Amino acid sequence: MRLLEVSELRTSFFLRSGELRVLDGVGFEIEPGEVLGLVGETGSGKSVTAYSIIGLLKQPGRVVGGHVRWQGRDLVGLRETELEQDIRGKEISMIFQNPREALNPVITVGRQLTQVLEIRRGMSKREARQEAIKIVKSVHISDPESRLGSYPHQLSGGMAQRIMISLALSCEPRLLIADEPTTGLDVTTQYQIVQLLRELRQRTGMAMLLITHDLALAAQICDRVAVLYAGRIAEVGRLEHLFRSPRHPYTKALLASRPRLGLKGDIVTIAGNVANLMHPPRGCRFHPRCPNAVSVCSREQPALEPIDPGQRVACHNPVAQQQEVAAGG
Amino acid sequence: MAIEEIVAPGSSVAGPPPVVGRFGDLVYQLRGNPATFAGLFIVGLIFLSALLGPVLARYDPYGVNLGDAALAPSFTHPFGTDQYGEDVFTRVVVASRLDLIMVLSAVALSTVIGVTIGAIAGFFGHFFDEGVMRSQDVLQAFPRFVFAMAVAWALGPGVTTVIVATAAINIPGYARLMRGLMLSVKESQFALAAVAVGNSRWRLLWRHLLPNCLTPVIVLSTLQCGFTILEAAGLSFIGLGVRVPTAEWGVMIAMGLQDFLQGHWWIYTFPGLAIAVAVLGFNLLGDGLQDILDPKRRRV
Amino acid sequence: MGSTRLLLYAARRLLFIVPVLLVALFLVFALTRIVPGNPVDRVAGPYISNERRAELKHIAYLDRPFYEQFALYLRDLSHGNMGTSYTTAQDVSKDLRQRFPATFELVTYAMLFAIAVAIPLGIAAAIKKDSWIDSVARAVSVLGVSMPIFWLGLMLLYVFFYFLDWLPGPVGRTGSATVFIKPITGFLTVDSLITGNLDLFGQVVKALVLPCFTLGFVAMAPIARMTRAVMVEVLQSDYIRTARSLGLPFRVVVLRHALKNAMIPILTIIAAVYGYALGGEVLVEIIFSWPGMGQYSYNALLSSDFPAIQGFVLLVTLLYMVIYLFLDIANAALDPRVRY
Repeated sequence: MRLLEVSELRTSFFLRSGELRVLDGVGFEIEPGEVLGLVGETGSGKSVTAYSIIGLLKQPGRVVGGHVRWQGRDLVGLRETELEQDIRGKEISMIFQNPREALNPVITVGRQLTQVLEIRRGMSKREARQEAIKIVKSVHISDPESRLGSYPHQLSGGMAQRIMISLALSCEPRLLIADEPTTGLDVTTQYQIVQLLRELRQRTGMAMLLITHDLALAAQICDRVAVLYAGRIAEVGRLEHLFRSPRHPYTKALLASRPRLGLKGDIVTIAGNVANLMHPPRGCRFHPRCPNAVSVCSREQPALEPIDPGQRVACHNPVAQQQEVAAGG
Repeated sequence: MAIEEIVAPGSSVAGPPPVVGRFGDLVYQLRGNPATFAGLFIVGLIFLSALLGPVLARYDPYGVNLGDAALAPSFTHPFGTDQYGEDVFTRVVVASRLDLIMVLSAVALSTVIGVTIGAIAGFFGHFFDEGVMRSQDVLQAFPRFVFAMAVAWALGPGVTTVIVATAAINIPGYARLMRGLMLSVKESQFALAAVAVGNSRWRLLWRHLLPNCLTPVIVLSTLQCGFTILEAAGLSFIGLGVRVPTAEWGVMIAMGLQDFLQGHWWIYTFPGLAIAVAVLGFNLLGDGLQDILDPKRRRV
Repeated sequence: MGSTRLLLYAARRLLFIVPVLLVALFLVFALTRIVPGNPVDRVAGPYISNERRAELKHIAYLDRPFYEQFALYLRDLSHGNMGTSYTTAQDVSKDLRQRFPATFELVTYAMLFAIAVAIPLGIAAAIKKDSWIDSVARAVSVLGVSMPIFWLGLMLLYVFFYFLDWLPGPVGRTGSATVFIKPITGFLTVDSLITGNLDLFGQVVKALVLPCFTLGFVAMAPIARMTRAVMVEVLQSDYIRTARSLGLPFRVVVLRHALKNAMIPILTIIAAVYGYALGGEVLVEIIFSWPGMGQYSYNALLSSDFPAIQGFVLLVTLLYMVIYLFLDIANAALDPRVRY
């Protein structure tokens, strides 16, 4: 059975100027043990998707439609207490951007960890302490005993992220949602964190939803990638297929716009502005900026449909399939 | 940055964003915040009463008439009469003028002095800053009302005393606020830009930095009006401020206390109610202003 | 974050009180000398001979220059001598010591009441924003902050004493009881329990109800409002989101994660409210004829009793500073980001 199946997810923010339709029918699935990347620009709705899944949207946001099926059980509309007890931490965990801000500043990180172990896994104080040290060692934090006595503001960014990962792992979830886990960290630390995630995935068989705007990051760890544009999934498929042969014009443009060593001339950009989510364009949301646009694109929203084995695209006029490795683009 | 600005910077296609002018915005904020509107209404009422009340009054607020002493509220005397036969309603309304004048003067005085001190301390820093802030520390070491009592006692009873005493205890609050604002705004990017373009220090202070510190000061002043009414009334109540038989809300409550065991509750209830309503109005207004002016708390 | 470092921090802060106290003393001293006229004339009346007047002035050091008077006052203070009251003819320090328990009992119970109600109310209001309990919290906050404390006291007295006769009137700490016990601690609630005098205990408690409620209600308001505001903000923070994402029960999230962060500003406002209460209790003592330091100071002000006024202001200010000291230490203990 599929681990996670998101279909037609709609989430809106109710502002004074109107309803901001941030997610307008998002759908993807994650199989057990697989790593799915959710890629998109700032403002495309990536983090909102994550919060919608575990029900931690901040006001004035609200899930207004669709389904999030976790092993068959729909999480949308589930009572808060059930989400809290059954799902969060135990089945699905999350790690956040800005790890130092995401940890309680007045409690030692060790206490934050042992507290979760005591409460969610019913351990005694001693057991929790031992388990905490074990977990923290497994994420390669040196000198665990003294580290656990630190406060978040005393930790470096990379260390804090490792602590976050420890917290997320403490209840042995089956899915880890990583929301921009490396943003704000220096390149070396980024690399270390990614390596850590890969190692964890291999060791525990945990599935992951990696949310990022960084295609290179996605390429290092994901099995499959879903591209999000303006609240809808543009394309989803296996990593290699997507990168070598993107079928959606947006994906193609994204890949083309990556800066590269040895690039001569200007960096390729995508024409136009990000879609206005309050008053989105009619039809396909990307069509005003799309080089492939045809007349139907301004009238009807394309549905996400299979185009190749294992690859789905939401486009009326998809890009032709590339036969060989795309040279520089 | 509001969500709108990140996700919808400009529309490429489809409809224009709704037109929201400054006034329309104000009305919108007020509609979503009925308490603020109530505050505005009450304060307006007080001003009206202070302006027109004494002119339109039917009775003489100091007209002693022992034959009509201590009458319960009725049609002729909606708030009753006190133990000297003076009409309580008239006195309450007349008192609004005196109290409002005292309070506005005191708040204006403390604002000007406090803001100046704080701005200088924050702007020039170092020696000034240390000195000024230590002195404010000392002033704030006293419990507020006790300090006001001491000052009022030293100066002797009277309207000016009330103004000076209540202003004195408020100065450190403004000084600290202004200093903090000045420190943070001084280091900001736009200040740096203004200096880079060639503004002199004074021009920087006056034209660029001060306007940005205005909002919290306005909010604080509005709230201070409320607290000052309480302190002024308190001082007058214990005889250190305005004296019996002046028509002042605190004094009237003191007069009511003198008569307490006779059970003439209206003598002190209505002036007290007037105080409570006035302070309530300023508090609601001040809170509302804070909600409206602070972008993080705005109604979105 | 060792406890020895905390102790050193406390000691440093304690030492810092001294200069501030000195300047404060000076201020008060200066104020008393601004007052027109002099106390000798006021107390002794106009019918004494000039020689007697000069003699009295000499005794009270009033014929010396200002700075000398201040220095003498400081010298006396360091021996614990606050001077002699012009009205009670006793040592001011003795006067204040006699009256301190009454005030302390009143203020302490009032503050405990205020905190015990305000904090849970504020938390509940923050969790259930825009619900009925939120409305109650906001109403209490706004009303408590707007009402003159002396008016509230009078109104409560009228309703519960004059009208309903449920509670004793403004006759002091023991209500209508005529039993007197020798004070042990001076705190009647404690003393009556120690001596097993339950009847007196009941009377004392009844006498405390109205004054404590009056002071407590006004103190409650800003605390509840701050608690609510801070909790709302804290509950929106990222680390609360992390705690919730781990499935920690909401009760734990609120009490162990959110509250610990919220406590820091809440303690600050409690200290500030305490200062306000020290002022407000003067008014309460006047209305309820409570034989405490507040009433003493009021009488002192009316009769220009310089030493008494100085002594009162000194003691109250010292008390306030100590409260603030406790706050600073608590802050340092709670918040690991504070450097010391």
